[in-house]
Amino acid sequence: MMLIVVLVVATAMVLLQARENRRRVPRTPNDAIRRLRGPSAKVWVIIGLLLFVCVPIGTSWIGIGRRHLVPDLLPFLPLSDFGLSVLIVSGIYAVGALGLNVLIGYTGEVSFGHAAFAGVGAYLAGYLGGPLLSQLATLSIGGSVLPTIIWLPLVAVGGALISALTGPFALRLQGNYLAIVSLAVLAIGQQVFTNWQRLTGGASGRTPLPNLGLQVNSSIGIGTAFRGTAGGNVFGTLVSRNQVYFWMTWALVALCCLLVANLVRTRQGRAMMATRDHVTSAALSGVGVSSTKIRSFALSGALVAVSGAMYGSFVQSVAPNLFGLQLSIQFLVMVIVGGLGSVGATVAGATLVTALPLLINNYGAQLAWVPFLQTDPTKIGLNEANLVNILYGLAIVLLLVFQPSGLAGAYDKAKGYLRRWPMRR
Amino acid sequence: MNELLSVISAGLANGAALALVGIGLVVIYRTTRVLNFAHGVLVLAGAYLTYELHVQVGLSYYLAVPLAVVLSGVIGYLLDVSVIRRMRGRPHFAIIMATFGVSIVVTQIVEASWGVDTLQMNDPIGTTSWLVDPRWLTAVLVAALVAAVAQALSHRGRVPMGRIIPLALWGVAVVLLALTVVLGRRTGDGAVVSLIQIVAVVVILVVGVLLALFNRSRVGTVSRAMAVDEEAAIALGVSPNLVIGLAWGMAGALAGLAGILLSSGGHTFDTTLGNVLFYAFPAIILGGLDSTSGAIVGGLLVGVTQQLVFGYQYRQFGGFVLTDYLGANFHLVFPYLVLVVVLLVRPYGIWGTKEVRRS
Repeated sequence: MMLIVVLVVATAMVLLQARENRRRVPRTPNDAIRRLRGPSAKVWVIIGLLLFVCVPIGTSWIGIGRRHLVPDLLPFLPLSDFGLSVLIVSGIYAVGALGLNVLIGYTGEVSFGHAAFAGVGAYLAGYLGGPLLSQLATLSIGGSVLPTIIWLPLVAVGGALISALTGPFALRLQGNYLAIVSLAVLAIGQQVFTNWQRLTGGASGRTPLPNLGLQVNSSIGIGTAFRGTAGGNVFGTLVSRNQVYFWMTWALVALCCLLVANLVRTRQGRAMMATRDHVTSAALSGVGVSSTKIRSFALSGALVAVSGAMYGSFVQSVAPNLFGLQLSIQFLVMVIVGGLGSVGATVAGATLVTALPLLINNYGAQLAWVPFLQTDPTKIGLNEANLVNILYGLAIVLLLVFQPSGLAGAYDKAKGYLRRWPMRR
Repeated sequence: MNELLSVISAGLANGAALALVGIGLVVIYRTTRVLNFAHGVLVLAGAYLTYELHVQVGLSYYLAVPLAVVLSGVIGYLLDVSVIRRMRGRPHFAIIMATFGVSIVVTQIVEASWGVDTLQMNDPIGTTSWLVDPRWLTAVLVAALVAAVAQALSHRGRVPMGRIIPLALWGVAVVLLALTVVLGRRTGDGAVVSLIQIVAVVVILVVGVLLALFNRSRVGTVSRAMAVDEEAAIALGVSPNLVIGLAWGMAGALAGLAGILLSSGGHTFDTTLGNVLFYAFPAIILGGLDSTSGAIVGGLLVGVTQQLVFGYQYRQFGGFVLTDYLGANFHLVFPYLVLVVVLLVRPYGIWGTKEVRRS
């Protein structure tokens, strides 16, 4: 395990170094300016990889072979099983938020209907990867379940197809009209999920979902902090369920980030942005506006469906009420709080928006000092759940009002301030 | 026949509330181009403030209602001042998200103040209902339908004396309604019409007339100018803060009124009352996002069709039962299906002005 980590890090460093060398030739000769630029992408990738490996393991395990290679570098991280699950859910939502960012940030269309696509993804995962497959006799392949590496891309394809179906409406309508019609997608999704009982299990939903190919056993995880329940076996090392989900999820996030960030550099991505900025000019410049919009819908639908499938797989159940307006709004808030059209910001926004209510909820006991807090559940008054929701709503409103450019804008501002530090602008 | 008429009148009453909510949404949309997701909160404000004033404080219902309407208007205005005004000029969906955040916060405050249990208004309107001769009721409905069609046609300038004729037809419908209430009552057999339904229909008629008058007034003209071209209006000395604040106040008051209609007359209510917003959205889109008369017609249309589906979904039609194929509670989705079909034919709704793209 250790060996693999080292190998991955080393490969990444070599690759980055090679890229750096290629870029070095036309670089500005002014070394001073370059030095002021702050940490390069290479540093960020290394930090990211280190976090990726270390967060779910904690500090002690890394130190086994070589005596505290990463000594208590990460003591502040939420290294409990709960903290890890928060990060997992954040990562899962980040995938969906990235998908929506393609649509909103790059193509300039708003959709409230994407929660339905997440639902489609989750139910598809239930059938393609889970034991449900054998119940649908026609689809069954020898009664066995498909491995993750197959069902996850299939879910993406399914999400893309369903999402592309809404394309024709997107072509015909604009702006707020489209936004409300996307509410129709949501309503129809709810109706189908709730009432097509043979397929979806009705309001109570489906329970057995694919488990990322883990054998469920009650082993313990590597590292000290994790005594996860259902564990698995990775390259001969026992890991906890949450650890596997963490690595799986954040690897997926990295993959999606790469995909979306590179999309912007392709012809298709530029076509999307041209459509967003000026439809007429885009069309005159030879951009197929219709097909661009539909492709954008398909891609965002695919990522959101994958996100829904991962969520269903993580919580091990799907039910219609998971995929309502609440989820759509959450995705939108993630994108906007993060900052439109920026990959890293979207991931940060997703983490913040997901973690906030979960953390407030978990540390709710420490809210006892709040006046008016009603602890008697039989009486009417401000109870903990109310307070959590109020804080969540307030956080959204305040972020939107006072930080219009999102976390990306805040980061840029802070970076600029630090770079010029003793001087004003 | 009797049952059909009862269902339609119940649908009209629901539609009147939807129309009130929809008018508020349209008024806000026209001035700020924002879809207000916090509108459900204003509906809640109307219902819960009336409940507080009438049941808890003990004021007369007829005093509590206007007070609650005014207070919801004030809440609407405060929403603009505290949040929306600070976000002017931002992308529309960022503002929409902010209104959603506001709705989360206020809904929780309502739950903390009045609890999540269903409440009852105990209003004097109560569950009073009459049996009405179906012929009278049919006459009223037909007259109203003819008036609405005439209005729609005159809106596009296809009727000579365009303003007078629909007005006269509406007058006929109202007189027929009054006559029905007085003369059309039966004791043995007839369509069930309850008092709250008549109140709702009268309220929406009155609001429609007031809106028409408002649009002709100076303030109304200024608001419409803002809707047509914000920059030009500001350059001519219109204060955007005043006009937009007024729109929010008006929208709040109308939404409060809708909340009162939906919670009075023997209905029970809880915080899910705010979800009426999601049926007002298809209503205003049907009518066209920027037309108040469109919102009224759209609201009534959605209300009636929804009630028809709701009333007949378990009925056998020659061995065919709707719920067997479309699932229970299909009436919750039906407005959206109508919406999708209508928008494919007319992308700007029935009344909406087409946005001309000059670029």
